[in-house]
Amino acid sequence: MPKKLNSKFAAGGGRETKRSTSGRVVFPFTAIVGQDEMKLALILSVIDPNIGGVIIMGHRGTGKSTAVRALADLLPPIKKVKGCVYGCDPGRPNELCNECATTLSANGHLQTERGLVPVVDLPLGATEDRVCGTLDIERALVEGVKTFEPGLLARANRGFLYIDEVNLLDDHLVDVLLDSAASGRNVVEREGISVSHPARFVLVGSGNPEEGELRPQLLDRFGLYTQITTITDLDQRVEIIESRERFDAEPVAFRSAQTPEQDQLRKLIARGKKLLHRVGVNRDLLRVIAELCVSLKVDGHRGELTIARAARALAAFEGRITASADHVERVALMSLRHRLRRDPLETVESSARIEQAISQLIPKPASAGLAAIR
Amino acid sequence: MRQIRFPFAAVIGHHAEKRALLLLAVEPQLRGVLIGTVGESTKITLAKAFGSLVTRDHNREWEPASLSAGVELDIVQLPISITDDGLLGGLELEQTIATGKRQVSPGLLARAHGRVLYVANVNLLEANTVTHLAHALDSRRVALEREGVSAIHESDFMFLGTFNAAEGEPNALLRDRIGLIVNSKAASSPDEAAEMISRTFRFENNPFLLAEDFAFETAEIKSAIETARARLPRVSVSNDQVRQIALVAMRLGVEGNRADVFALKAARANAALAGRDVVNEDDLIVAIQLVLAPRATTLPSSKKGVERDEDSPAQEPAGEGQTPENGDDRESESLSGSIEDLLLQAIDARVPEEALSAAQRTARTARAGTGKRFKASSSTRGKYVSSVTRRNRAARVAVDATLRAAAPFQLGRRGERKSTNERLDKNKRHAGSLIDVPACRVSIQPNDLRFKQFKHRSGILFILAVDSSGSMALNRMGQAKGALTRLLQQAYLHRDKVSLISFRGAGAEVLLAPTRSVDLAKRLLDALPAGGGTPLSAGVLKAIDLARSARVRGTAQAMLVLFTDGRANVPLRGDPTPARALAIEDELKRLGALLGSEEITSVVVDTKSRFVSNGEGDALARMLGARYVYLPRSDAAMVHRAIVSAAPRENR
Repeated sequence: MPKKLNSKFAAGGGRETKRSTSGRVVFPFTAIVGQDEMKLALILSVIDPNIGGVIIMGHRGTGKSTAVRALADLLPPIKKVKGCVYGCDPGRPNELCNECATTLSANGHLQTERGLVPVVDLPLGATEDRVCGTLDIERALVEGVKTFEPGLLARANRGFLYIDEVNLLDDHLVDVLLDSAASGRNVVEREGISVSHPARFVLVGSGNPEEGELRPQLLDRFGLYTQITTITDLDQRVEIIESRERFDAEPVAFRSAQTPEQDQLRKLIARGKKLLHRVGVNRDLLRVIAELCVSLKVDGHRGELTIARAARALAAFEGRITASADHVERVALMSLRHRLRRDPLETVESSARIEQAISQLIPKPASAGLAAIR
Repeated sequence: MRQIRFPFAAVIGHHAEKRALLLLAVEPQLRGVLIGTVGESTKITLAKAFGSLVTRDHNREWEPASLSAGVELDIVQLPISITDDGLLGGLELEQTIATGKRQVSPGLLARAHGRVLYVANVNLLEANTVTHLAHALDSRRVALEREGVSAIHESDFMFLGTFNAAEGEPNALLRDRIGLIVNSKAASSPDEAAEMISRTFRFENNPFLLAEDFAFETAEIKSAIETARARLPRVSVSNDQVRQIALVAMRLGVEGNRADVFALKAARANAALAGRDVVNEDDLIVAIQLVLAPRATTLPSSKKGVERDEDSPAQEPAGEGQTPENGDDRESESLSGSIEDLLLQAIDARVPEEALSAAQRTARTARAGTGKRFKASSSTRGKYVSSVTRRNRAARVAVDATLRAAAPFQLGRRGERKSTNERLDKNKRHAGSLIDVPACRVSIQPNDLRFKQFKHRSGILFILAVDSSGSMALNRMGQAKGALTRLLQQAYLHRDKVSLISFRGAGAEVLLAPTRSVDLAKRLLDALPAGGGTPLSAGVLKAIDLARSARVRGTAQAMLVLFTDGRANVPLRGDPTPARALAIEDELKRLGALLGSEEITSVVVDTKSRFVSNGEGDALARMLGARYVYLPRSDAAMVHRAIVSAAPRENR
């Protein structure tokens, strides 16, 4: 059984159009109506995985998981070590798994292949052993050997780990996630197995805040927080109903009609990823970012770092080589929304407080070019 | 031979339910029907009858091709008490051991693939179960990542759920993903009821005969469904009609976009069923009734409001688009009526010194007296989260983990076994080997044993019952609200839930159903009604109801916090005689006993100022067997502290 699943992620070489969840057509990203902040946050976290992922909180039925699943289609292929279960990055020798490291030191080089960026679902009903990996029971029964069977964290290495209804995730799984998200490695000590392997993944979560609260430590892990609400624009709402109906009737045709838009977005994302490390953020702008966080009393430095990273990714996405105040303004809300100290009796929304702070720090003319993300 | 089912055509009345089921049969993408109306027996009859109506159809994605066309759909029933293992699947132990190959045993969701999944009392499902169900509905498959197995099973089913609206609405997560909801009451006449009973008897006597009697009608319905299915792709809908749907959804405050899409599908299915190629107004009305209206969070203030606002004149069936039979019902469901009365804000009054110390005193005594009863055996209840090597008390063996532990040694032990077989026979009754008999292929030794470790995460349900009668209602509500928000802040830690009941006038109402969400609580508590008499008993009774249904859903412990000035003046059975006071006292004593037998810890928070108090609050607490806390005009933090210290928590 696990073989079958692994092949879904391990089978490299195919163009991303081949990505399918066993024949089922996924709703195309570019056909999602509205919800621009959510879409931007997802794109930014693809361009710079170090932003720390995205959490999407909002009303039911507003396309949260549709967007995440559609995102998989836009990811440019990556280079992997051939045959490695963890899909190690041959370009980063210090992040290799033990086997790849051994091979590298023995042979001096690693064979590579092109593969898909894994997008792994973490189902809420998962047990800890399947998340971390555990003893391979089949080999143990048949051959009597103790071998490690990698779990979901291994599968998600260098990719995305998606948790729908993240606020309902069991605490013991949250602990596991926090551990490996912090260190980028998954350390397994159970059932007589002792293994450590790379587990760098972008955490993407979604949920409805009315179902329950998210543990603060986990919330803090997410780089960007986007809030989405039911669309109240009649035209957009109509467009959603109609496009969904067309998609349900003829998914394949619907999808191919979106190919030009999808291709265009793919190109922009790929360009952004290439450009990212050349984008400069000048000192004055960094100072503005720091002042913003100070004025909002954001604890720690994760807030500043996230804004800077996100602004840089946005600049790269738009083909600029310097981040501007405008970029900062457009990402500040999603970077800080979940980092303000929360007072339940506070009547002013976090969003409003952030917007106010921004308008004080960044003079208005800078925001004149609030262009749509497209 | 297949069991004969009660014919769908023989079910009398229940037009809305039958209509919804027919629409689902025509358009499976509506995903399912939630029925919140009829009696238990009729619901099951309808569900079963439905299965015999729908036949597999190869043109549709959701039915597996391996099954032959024309076969009646099986019904898979999901018991409320189902475990995650049962629902999602797990390792098939017997096969795995016998073959040495990992075998997956599919869960109920996988078995429901291509069938009808029936759940009675969906509103009582545990949160876990609901989440998994919602996921399966979303993705039409089950991702199994449990206990050493990893698999994906197809899980595309039609969902039939029933609930008793009096016990609460089905979980919103589920409701959002099910297209059709019937929750309007349509009482059947005595004649109809009598005929239904007689048909049931006839069915019990000889199912074949009844089925035969209705063979013609059944065939008619079946062919109508078939024709409608064939017609459905051709049914066209105008852009204006889609706009109307969207507009109505917005007017009713329907959350998200799923319902809008369902409404369109329902309208088209209804047209197809009526033999039309074009959607008309009737279809839109049906769609609104069965899809949008049951999800309304607000109601348009008046008919005019709906019509005035938009340019399209044809949308008049929209906002008020119910048929007469359930029009008045919708009125009573409306949230708007009660909210208008008064807006209350959280009031954090200043804390007088004396109250502070009083509360601290209470806190100390409270701490000493609680906790014992609730030291539940955490090693046998709750959620099986992992396995441990140590046995504690009545621990249950974790078979999977035990096997995994024993697995690596099998080859070695197999060799050993031959030579030690005889010796083992002698020693078997001793601690030597537990399961190692010659016939067993797996050799398990005591130190392989792993035990299940459970986490009992149910937490406590705090029920805050607030007396919202009289002049101090505002103050009390402010206190309660503040305390509630503070409880919620800790909720994620302890898995606690909070709930708010307000009692005033003639009865009590649940303002906030048990929840863990700060956002939801804030939204609902922003507007609260106040004024009128003090139906204390009704408030307590409501709280007991809540605690009971929470227990069914897995929150074992409940705590009632009563905010009142202690003067009850409205009895449960409203007789205005002089005996009223006595009646109330009697009621309260009985309710106190009930609280005790239900193991609900209770606290009375007296909010009356000392000058006017004459011990009523204290007396009330004694009657109810509750702890008494005197906290006039104190702030939310104080109240919160008093509540938490009295909470029946094991280890804090």
